[in-house]
Amino acid sequence: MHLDIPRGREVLTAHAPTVASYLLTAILLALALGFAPYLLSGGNLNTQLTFAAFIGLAALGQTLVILAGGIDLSVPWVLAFGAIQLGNFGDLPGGVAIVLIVVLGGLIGMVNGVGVVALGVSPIIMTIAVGGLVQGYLLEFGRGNLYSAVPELANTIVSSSIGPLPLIVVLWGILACATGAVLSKTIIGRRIYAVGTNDRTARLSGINVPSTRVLTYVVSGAMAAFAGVLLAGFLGAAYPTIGEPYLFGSIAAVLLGGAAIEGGRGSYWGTIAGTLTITLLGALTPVLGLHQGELRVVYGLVILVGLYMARGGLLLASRQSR
Amino acid sequence: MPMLQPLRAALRGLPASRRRRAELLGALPFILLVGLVAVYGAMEPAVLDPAQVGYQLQSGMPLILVACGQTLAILVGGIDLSVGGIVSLSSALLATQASTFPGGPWAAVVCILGVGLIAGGINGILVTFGRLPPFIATLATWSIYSGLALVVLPKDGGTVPAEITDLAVGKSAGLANSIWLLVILVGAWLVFRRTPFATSLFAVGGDEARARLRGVRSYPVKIAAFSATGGFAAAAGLWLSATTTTGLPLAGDALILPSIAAIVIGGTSLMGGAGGIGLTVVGALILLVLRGVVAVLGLTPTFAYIVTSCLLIGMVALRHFARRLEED
Repeated sequence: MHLDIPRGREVLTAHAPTVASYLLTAILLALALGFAPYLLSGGNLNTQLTFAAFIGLAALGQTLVILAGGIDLSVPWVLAFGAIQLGNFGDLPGGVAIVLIVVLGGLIGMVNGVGVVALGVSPIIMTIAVGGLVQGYLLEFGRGNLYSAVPELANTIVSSSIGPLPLIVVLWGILACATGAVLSKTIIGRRIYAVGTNDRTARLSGINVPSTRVLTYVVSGAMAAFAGVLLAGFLGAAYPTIGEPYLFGSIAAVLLGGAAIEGGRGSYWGTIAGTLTITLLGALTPVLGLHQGELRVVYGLVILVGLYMARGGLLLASRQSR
Repeated sequence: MPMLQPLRAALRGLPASRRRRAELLGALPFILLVGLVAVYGAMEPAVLDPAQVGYQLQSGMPLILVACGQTLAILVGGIDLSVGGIVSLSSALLATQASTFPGGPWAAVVCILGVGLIAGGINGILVTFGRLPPFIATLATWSIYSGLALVVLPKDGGTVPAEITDLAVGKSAGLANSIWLLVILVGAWLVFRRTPFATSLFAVGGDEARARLRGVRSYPVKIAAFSATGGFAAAAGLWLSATTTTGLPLAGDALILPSIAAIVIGGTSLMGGAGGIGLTVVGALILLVLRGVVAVLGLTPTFAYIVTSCLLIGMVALRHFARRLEED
């Protein structure tokens, strides 16, 4: 596989949806600065970035899965699994418990992936079913811990900071850069794009399509579980519906980032913009005197606007390059 | 795959012709439903009493209605995540508007069904003229519709006019109205699927480009299908509020994924173009009877999630391998 280095207009075409998604973020940022500058000062900024980090982590694996042409609807339940299982592993040293949970999350993701590639179950159905299994497990066997205490280490991770930034945000930053780099600079990244663009072509060019697919689901499961651990630490409690907002949130972040739901197009850099857009919206609505209901309406409308902006960017760029 | 050899041999060994094999696979949901009902009835004979059947259908009706509507969106090659929002919106509207509606509660019911049709129609327009993938378009409108539900009614409450509740929980000719509704639903589908419109519905879902070449105008067909999906979802919300006598502005979300599960278990293809509401009713009934069996066994309701999920994966995988066998 040779790596083309895109130039000039090609760069513009390739990155137009990402540029469009940052444009949307910038508009909201300007609104935020205009209406409520205090939202983005000092402690508030860090809180908002922390919220963004949860969405960003849940959306990290989702980005890979969608790029490879799938979708992961089990994210909210795997996230809840991470949060609740942390309480069940209370006897273990914190670090071991967290690593174990991330590994288990990855294994749940692997079940998703294997179902999709080996059993021929469509991603929507497979991840609904696995989400249902995890939900059943949590409600059936995790019962004593529905509102469980959270181990010390998770609290420590959440409350500590590096320099001016919370540790969670730094962790997200590191993982974000790593993901961005893996996707654009490595063979694995190229394979994910290739599988999402056209899996037959990918197979014919010697890519192991099934294992590439499974890998994306493994990452999604692991990241969702990790986000669950951190969220439990942040909230100081864990409950089965803890992950609910992240089904919509993780997918919306990816789509607002300019990725195509059919796979093959998008990037984690775009997802970061999508994540920030969603976080800004969430922060802005109460300032504007809007409630939960209006927030949902605004989310929906912004997604539609974002989709058409990404599409418009793409059209514009392809017209210029003609 | 070597581990599948026994399964392959078993499937090959079953009926003689390909056609018979396909028929057996298609009949599997029916066989499963009959078996489950038999087990359920054997464990707890009281549940087969018509009054009990009516009561259980009454509580399962929202899922059945949403799943039937969802089937139409899936038949044209789409999917509708926004049904959850429409159910919530319709429930919230009934509980807040019906008592004071000019023209009376029944006019309100008609208007709410109209809201559902319009909401579904908007999905259809986004998918066709708006050129958005159905999954994304309805993800966005799900958020919008469920948000509107919360704007109309911020939390559970409101009142439902007594006559509407009476119709939903009442009886006609000795049988619960929920049973009659199911009979009407299946009957209407059996009539509908012979109509030219149904033919174009299947044609568009099977292969849109080919359908267009044959002169089917695919956009109106798709918009109509999505609109009907919204109408069904609104009906589910009305039923939910009528039977619980309150407005539930968050209740719809819990129906989205089970509605897809019911469709898939029934045998309608997520790829579009094959299946139908009859199959979906069977799939939804399987889910409802499963919940009952789990309850009779003394297991917690959450156990039903686990069984449902396994069933879902099992059915799809079985069909996948059967198809691969045919291709060999």
